[in-house]
Formats: sequence, structure tokens, C-alpha cells
Amino acid sequence: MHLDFFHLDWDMGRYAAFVWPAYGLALAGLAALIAVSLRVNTQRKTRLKALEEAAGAETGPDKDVVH
Amino acid sequence: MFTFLANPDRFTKLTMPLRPWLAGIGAVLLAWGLYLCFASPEDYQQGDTVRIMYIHVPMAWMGLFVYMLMGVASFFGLIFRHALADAAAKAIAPIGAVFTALALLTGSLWGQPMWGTWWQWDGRMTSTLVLFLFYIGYIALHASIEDEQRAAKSTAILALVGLVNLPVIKFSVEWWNTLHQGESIFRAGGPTIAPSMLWPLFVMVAAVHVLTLWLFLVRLDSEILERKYRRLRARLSFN
Repeated sequence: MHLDFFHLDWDMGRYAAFVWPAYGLALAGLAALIAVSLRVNTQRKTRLKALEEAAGAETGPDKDVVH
Repeated sequence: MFTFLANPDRFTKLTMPLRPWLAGIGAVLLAWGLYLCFASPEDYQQGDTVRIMYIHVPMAWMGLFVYMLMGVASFFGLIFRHALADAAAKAIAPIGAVFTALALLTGSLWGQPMWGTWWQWDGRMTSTLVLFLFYIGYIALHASIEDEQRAAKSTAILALVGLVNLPVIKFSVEWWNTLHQGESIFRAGGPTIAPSMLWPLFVMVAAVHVLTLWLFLVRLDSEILERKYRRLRARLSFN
């Protein structure tokens, strides 16, 4: 069956069982990596902010530690 | 410049404005690349399975490139004790691990219809699996050592040892008789792939590069936040 969304041929024929899972895995893997990275970043920002507020202190700028 | 960027706050301040742009450009490139993947013609021999190349090859290239960056960061951390080097290596490792795993999986999905096998212990595939194991080993070793500096030193050594695998992966198709095909893009005499297939491939490579840079900055920021949190908590519990 020829499907013509955006004038592209979506029919992979006998290779559909290989092409679509490959794209599905790749996009799912990329999406998971992005989601986890962003979630961890948000969580750590929130956690540090809460600790700073609880301490009533500013972390201040980190000094260079290159020896 | 490396000394200038060693200050985590300065690094964060410089790179924070770049992040939304990188995310946006990466998303646009990915969308354009995916469109080209399905607009390109099928191969006269491989049929529609050639479309797997547009995700398999960028993933494989990034797996190698990211490990090289990890090795360089580990070198700077171990030898020059650059403040952000270990954090950079730790931040980028999971990205490389995911790309290498996806390269292996998509390679299997391509190999089964083309070669009649999901897996072969040939030079290219085996050395890429070794690369994935080095990534996993690096991440696991970092997680298993509580002390930050000891973890940085141990994992840097592991990362540097793993660098020897990169030329093995690259030249495996020349050194041994492998099932995996030889070089078809960066070779003397130019690429053997038609332009109608090279364009989708290069756009997808560009998309993956930009998205990797964006994710690296996000993850490095997370590492910096974690270190600040630990230091503040240690300071507070000491007081």
C-alpha cells in the first residue's frame, strides 16, 4: 500500500519489520536520553536551591582549582 | 582558554545561553534529516533497508567520537588536573554508551535482512561491542567509588586504556576479512555513495552532533550542580 503523507513513500515492503523497529529504537533511545538528562538537571537545580535556602548561605563563585 | 573555562560558574554562565539554540537547531536538523531519510531513493540491492544506514552510521560515528572526547577529557583531568575535565568525561559517557548501543541494535536490524544474521563475531562488530563494554565499565566504576577524586583518577585511566580500541574499530574492515562492509565515505577516490543518499546521511550526522553538544552541556551542568551540592552539604555538616 502506498501512503503519500508529505509525498513520501512509507511502504517499506518486506523490510518493514526491520526498518520501523530500527527507527523506533533510535528515536526512543534518543528521547529517553534527553528526558532523563533534563529531569536530572531540574532535580539537581531544585535540590541545590533548597539546600542553599535552608543553609541561608550563597555558594558563591567557585575558585579556579587548576594546579 | 582551558584555564579560563576551569571555573564552573564561568563555564555555566557562558554556555547556558547556547543551550536553547542548540536544542532548537538540533530539533530542526533532526526533522529535516528524517524527512530526507524517507524522501531518498531505495538502494538497487538493499531496497528500503538502506534507510537504516541514516541512523546506524551517525550513531556509530558518535559512539567513537564521544569516546575520543571522553579520552581527551580524562587526559586533561589526569595530567593537568583541569577542574571540569572529570565532570566533562562523566557527563558525556552515557551519551556515547546510548549511541553505541543503538548502533549495535540498528546494525543487527540491518544485518539480518542483508547478511542473513543478527550478529557475527567479526572485527568491526566485536570491537564496537568492546567499546560499549568500556562505556559501561566507565560508568559503573565511577558510580562504585564514593570519593570524587579517586573515582576521577580510576575512571580516567580506564578511559585512556580504552582509547586503543578506537583505531581497531576504524581499521578493522581493512585489517581483517570482515562481514561488515569497508569504508564507503571517507576513502581515497571519494565516496561510493550517491549524493541522494549522502545528503540525508550528513544531515543526520549534523543533527546528532548538535544534539550531543546540547545534551553534553545539560549533563555537565548537572555534574557541576551535584558537586556544589556535595560541597555545601559537607560544609554544613562540618559546621
